[in-house]
Amino acid sequence: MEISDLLSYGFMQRAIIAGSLIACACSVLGLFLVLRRLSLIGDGLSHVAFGSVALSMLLQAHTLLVTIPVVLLASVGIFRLTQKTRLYGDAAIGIVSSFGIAGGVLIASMAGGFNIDLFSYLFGNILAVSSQEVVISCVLCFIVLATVAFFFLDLFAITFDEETASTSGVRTEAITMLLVLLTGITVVLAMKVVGIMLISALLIVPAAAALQVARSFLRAILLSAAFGVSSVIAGIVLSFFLNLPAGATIVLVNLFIFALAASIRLLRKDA
Amino acid sequence: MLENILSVRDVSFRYAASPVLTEVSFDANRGDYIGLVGPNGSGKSTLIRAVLGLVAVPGRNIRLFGIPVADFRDWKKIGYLPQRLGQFNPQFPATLQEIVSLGMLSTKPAFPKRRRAGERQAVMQALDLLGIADLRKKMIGELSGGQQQRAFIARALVSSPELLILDEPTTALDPDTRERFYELLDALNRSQKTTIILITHDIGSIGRYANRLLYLDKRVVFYGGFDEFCHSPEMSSYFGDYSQHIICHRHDHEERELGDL
Repeated sequence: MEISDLLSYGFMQRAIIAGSLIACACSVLGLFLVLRRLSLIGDGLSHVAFGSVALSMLLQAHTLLVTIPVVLLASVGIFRLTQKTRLYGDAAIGIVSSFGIAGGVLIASMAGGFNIDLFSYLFGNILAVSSQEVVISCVLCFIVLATVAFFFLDLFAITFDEETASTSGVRTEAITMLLVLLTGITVVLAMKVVGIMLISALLIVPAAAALQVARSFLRAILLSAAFGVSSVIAGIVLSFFLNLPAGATIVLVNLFIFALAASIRLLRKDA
Repeated sequence: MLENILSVRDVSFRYAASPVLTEVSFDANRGDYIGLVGPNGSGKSTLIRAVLGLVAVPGRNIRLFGIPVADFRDWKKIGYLPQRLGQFNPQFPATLQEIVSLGMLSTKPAFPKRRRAGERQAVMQALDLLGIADLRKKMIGELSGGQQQRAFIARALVSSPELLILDEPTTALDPDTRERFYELLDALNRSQKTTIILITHDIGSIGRYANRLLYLDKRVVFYGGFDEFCHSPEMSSYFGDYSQHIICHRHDHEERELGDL
């Protein structure tokens, strides 16, 4: 079977369209998160997403209808904890993250234990994404990317230095809150692509790879997006031909790209 | 008539139980060049951060261009170089030109913040002024400490602010660059009537240029002209004759050197 045959399958088209857009949103936001030392926020929010998926199953409600508001609330919780208490971001993420996992396990046990659906969210199942989910993912990813484009200079300014950004008229608290909320939406969407356990890889690794080779901030954003999207497409295709789980393959392709970028950086240094 | 740019009235601030500022009052008028000096921990940076609304002080006793700082929104009038910008992430993926362009942010409307005509020219002028135009494509983390400091100064100057606040800007500069930097500020102050507040430990040098000296030690110890400072019996008794003589003598010495050139 050739790649052109592969792309004739409807499930493959849906997976590549949704996966590419979600990867683009993840890797663009990931660059801001990595530079602001909020890399692990993806991990924390994905654990909350686990709890809310369990809740949606208990309530027999649509997963996105439950997970998006719950994860957005958790995003606000992390933000408020860092602002109102004297906690560093990682401690606030740790608190919310453990709350999400504990809540998820309790709810899952109340619902009669873990089932196949919950496991599909833990490890992702991009090939099973429905047409409705593709549409929702496309709309939400477009909103996320358009918002980043609209507030690009503000995000750039607070990422470099919050204090001078503030004296340039940037509403630093509002922009940070916006970044955290956009991350919340993206994490929920990325559950389907790589699964709850591997979401932070999709947020962190493309950005980390871009930071190895980028020679300007704009290029870092574009490279991060390119790495994220290409890892998802290559991961889906490889997983199909090699009969491997798609989520894990996407993450391994990401790590390969990172290793390549790090090697290029080392070679440049030696040159 | 003198136009008031900054008014600070009876501002007090404390971190937990420790007083940092006690009933500080002073005014800055258009065209003033104020050297803000004092020992470490005297509250200089806190005062500046309070002036910029980065530290919330009770009451509405700080006014920028006549507006309480909590309500102030016209940030294009202000250029600021914080002291701790030197501690930025050296791996940050931005070119010197991108960093200096951030200084134009305050000149843009709230939404949308798009690149404007003439912006590139303003950035190039600022880079030229600081002698770093040829480094504009370099990554900020790859530059030396002095070059980075010049980039941050360019960023503070690029929007042609009416009030320029600089927190120890000359720390990483070599003597030649430092001298050129003081001359640049002096030219801005004279030609554009830019109001300048410069925090420094270098009282001798700042005394040559600033028309006012604000000596802070949690409270205002002295606020007036440099000559007044040198001839003030109160300052003699505060610093001791010897220290006052050292500061003022250095100033005289440097002035003589400049006169010989």
